Amino acid sequence: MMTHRYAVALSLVACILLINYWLSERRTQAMKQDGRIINISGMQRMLSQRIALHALELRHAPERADADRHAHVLAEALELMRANHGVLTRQWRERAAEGDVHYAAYLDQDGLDAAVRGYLARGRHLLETYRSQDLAALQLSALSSVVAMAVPEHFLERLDAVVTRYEHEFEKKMHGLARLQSVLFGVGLLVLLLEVLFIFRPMAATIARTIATLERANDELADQALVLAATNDELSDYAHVASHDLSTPVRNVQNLTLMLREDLGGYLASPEADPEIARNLDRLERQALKSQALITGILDYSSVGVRDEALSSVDVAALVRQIVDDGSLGVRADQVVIEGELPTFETHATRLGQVFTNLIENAFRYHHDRENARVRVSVTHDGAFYRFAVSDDGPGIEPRFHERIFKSFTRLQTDRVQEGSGIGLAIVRKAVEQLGGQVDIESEPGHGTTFRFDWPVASLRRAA
Amino acid sequence: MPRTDLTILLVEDNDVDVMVVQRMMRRLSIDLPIIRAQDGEEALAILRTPVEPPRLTPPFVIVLDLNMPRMNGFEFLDAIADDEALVSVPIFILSTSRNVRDTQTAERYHIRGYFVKPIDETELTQVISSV
Repeated sequence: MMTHRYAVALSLVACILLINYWLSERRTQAMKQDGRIINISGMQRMLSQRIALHALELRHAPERADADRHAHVLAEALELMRANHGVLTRQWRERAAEGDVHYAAYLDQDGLDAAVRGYLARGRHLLETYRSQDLAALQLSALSSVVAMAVPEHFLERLDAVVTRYEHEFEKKMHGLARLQSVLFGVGLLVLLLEVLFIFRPMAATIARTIATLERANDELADQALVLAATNDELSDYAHVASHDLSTPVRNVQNLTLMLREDLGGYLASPEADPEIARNLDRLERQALKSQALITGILDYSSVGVRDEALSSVDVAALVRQIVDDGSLGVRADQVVIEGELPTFETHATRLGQVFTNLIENAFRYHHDRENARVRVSVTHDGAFYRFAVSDDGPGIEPRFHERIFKSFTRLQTDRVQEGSGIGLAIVRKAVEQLGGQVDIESEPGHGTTFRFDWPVASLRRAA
Repeated sequence: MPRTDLTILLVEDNDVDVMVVQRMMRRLSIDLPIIRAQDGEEALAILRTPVEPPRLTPPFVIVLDLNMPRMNGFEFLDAIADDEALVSVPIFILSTSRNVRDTQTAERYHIRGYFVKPIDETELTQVISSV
């Protein structure tokens, strides 16, 4: 609707501009044409005087040479006046044909046309007489015609009147055109004003409304993002609190089992002891361990990246050594081999430690020959990221499981003594992806497994 | 050599954790009185309410849990921060938390040690040798 109106208004303005241009052109054209006519009319007046002057001079010339000079000028003036008159009479006839009585009057029997032609005829007669007779004869015979020529009745006034008429008409025409242009100018302004009122203003209002709507939508989105972030934090906190609260009773079960074992120590060692009691104590302990591992997993997963961790200088080789020497893995130091140089750089120490711990733990936990297992750690540098690799010589993982192992609580083996939470690789992926990296797995059954992950060389001062 | 007239103020809401400490002391044949407070508020009451005879007499050490109802470990530490009488009393934190936030917060207080449960023999020895 608005676009349609806009197009119409624009066309209108364009039309008005075009018409105005055309009018200006016409004005210039008319000015040129009428100027010429006015000039010619003025020239006729001047020529008539010159003819009269030279006719007189011709008569009084004392020498033949002087007379010839005047005759020559006279002839030229007569010819020019005749030619001019031809142009003017054509004009007059046109105007008369258009019904202008003034011009028709010029062409009347005793009109200006006849007067001019009579004047020219007398001039030519004088000239011919001069050329055919000698000077003395001319001075006598041509006297009357010269006198008649020198004093044409109201001739100058009538020629003046022509010039004035032309000028008057020209002014009238110009005035008309100027008025038309003014009117058009006014109409143009009016159209513009109407456009402002009925097109630009509503358009501006529409745009303002649209912008307001967009801004509102934007604000709402920002609010939603805040709510979402808060919800995320809340969920994270919830997982944190829940797992923390759960861990106390589980730990109590573990401690109580230990106490029971201590208290029953003597009985269990005696021959009359029911072996089922000792087995059940073992089962109780294992279940508690399993629960503990699950809870720790949830706790670790929920805490990845939740709090800002200050950056510190991390020697990756030392970090890996520390994980192995920590003892909780239960492997010998020589079972983890660092290949090449590992970097030392400013990064999130705990997070990177979490990733290495989980990957190395994973490699040993599911190894078929834990005692002789070897895990290799290496690195390549690719632009903004280090790409670390943790390889093992374990059983390998079938390609169809490669995506599944990164999901929470997924384990591919069930009946292992060493229970994992099944959340380790999910933690790895979360930690790596939060820093803009990616975790890949390369594995084939029987050929070991290599995990590769990106880690930013430069970290922002605040963690993501 | 650990003193034999030492009292341990154990601020701990979990009964089983109290039992674990008691058992370990029994196993190590350490016979020192343990006064147990359920939370920070109860510990404050023991330290500050004048009763005859006093429930707790110097020398003593405080073993403090962090996560407790009513008044947690850090709130308790805040509450006694300006207490002149307690400046020389050794305080140990014994918590389940390995959280960096907690360990960093603990560093801001005047404490002798931060132990993660369960307490082991060396740590317990450290506690009773601190006075």
